[in-house]
Amino acid sequence: MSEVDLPRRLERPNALTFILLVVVAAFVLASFHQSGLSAEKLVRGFPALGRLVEQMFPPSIERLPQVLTMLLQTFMMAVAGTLLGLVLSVPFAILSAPSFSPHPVLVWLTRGLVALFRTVPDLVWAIVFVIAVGLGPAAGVLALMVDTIGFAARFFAEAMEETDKGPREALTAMGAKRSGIIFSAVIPQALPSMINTSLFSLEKATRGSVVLGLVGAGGIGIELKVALEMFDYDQAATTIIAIFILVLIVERASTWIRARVI
Amino acid sequence: MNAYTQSFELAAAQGRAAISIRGLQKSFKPGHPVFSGVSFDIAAGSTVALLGANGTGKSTLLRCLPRLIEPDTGTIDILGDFPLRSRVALKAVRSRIGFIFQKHNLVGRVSALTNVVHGAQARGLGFKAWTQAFAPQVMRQEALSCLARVGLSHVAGQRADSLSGGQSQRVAIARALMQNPGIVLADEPAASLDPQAGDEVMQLFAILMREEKKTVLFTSHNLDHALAFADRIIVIGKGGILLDAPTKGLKHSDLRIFYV
Repeated sequence: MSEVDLPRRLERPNALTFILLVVVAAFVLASFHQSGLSAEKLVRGFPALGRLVEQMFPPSIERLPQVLTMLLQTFMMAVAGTLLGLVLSVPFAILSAPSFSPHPVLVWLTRGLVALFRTVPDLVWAIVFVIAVGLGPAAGVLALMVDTIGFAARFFAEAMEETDKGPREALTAMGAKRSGIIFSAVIPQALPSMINTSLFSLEKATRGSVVLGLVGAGGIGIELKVALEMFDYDQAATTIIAIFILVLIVERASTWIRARVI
Repeated sequence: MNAYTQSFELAAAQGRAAISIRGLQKSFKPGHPVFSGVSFDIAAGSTVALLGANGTGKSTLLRCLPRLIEPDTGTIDILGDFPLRSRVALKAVRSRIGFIFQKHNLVGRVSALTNVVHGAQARGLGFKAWTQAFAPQVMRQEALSCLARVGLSHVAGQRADSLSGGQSQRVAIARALMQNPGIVLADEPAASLDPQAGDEVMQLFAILMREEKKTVLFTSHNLDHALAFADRIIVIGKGGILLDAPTKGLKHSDLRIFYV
């Protein structure tokens, strides 16, 4: 038997930690209270939900051809927006990575811009681009592009920073240019992570593109909005199922590609 | 043969120094220099071994030459070029210096041939030297013949991270041949290899460097390699140079005392 006592399973928190825990717990409780969520509301809501589901089924296939066309348009918006965003993410990533950026001011500026792209929701970007370029898929593509830059540029920059410094040092030692070092030593090493991020971006854009139609930025969202506003819940169900199948296919394809390429 | 190679050969024929170091000092902690006041010349076309116990600053000194590490004080003159003036001048000087690293420093996810093609980036060829796929046929052939010289043309298409340690180091040597520098610095090129592979790599390295009439400065802990392949041995320790002598006449025991 050891002479040393076992340490306690849980340490007693000090006064400051205890106060912090109480404050956090109070804030969480206040958040629930402020939302107005109650057991009574949930109980009352269930029958209404049941009625909605009842009206949704069986889904109507009356507008199935239009739904599928809009679905294809939505996916094409996602592909175009993601691709544009990924291409632009590479220069943004290079400029925002301290090891590769030509100047610290550029690091600061591009990081700020990428953070802005990321923190403003894609629906807000969609409204901005609808105002700028008018209603339709072009606004949706631009919104998805900006959203993709905000997501992918940050992860690309981190993947590039995390690469092995050895090959970079070898090329630096022989007087290679910054572009040569980045494209021949850094990006090949960061590629698995960049492909992973790109596939997640496509999944994210596919999900995002669905709701952009709600603000007139093209895609199947408008179909869903009209169906719900006209109380055509069976029609809305068809649209929701179609969206679900598309997102599922993209996620499965992305997982399959990830497993084979990386 | 280009004008640059000619300038090195001329320097060798005239017995001039390819590398001239004066009063070099480097510290990583203020007041505790790894070495200070280090001065020596290396004649063009000669091979010099830099020895010393762990922590004496061999690798640091080697990295100071292409200014991968910035020295505190002192001057480094590479065949008349003093790599301090500008970024462009520094790149021009670096392009004349090949560097073989202990850990090979290859790009693992690309082929051996692409790694050798990277050596041509010293010539400022832009995107053509980023990968063998972009390289003109002449450059690809040149890279393949560099691989053939290290006995590895059969692994040209293989990914670098699938090669053994010895093969990787030979690809790194081929990359340096592709660069065609006048000076080759090698930081313990055999240290990460088993004894047999280490001997083979050092032998190949020494033969190729002599054939190419390169000026070589290599660090090592292997006294046999230093005695067999160098014309001259410099031992550093206690912050400065402890021995600087031609290899001829030196014995194992003369060097071992610096490791006690």
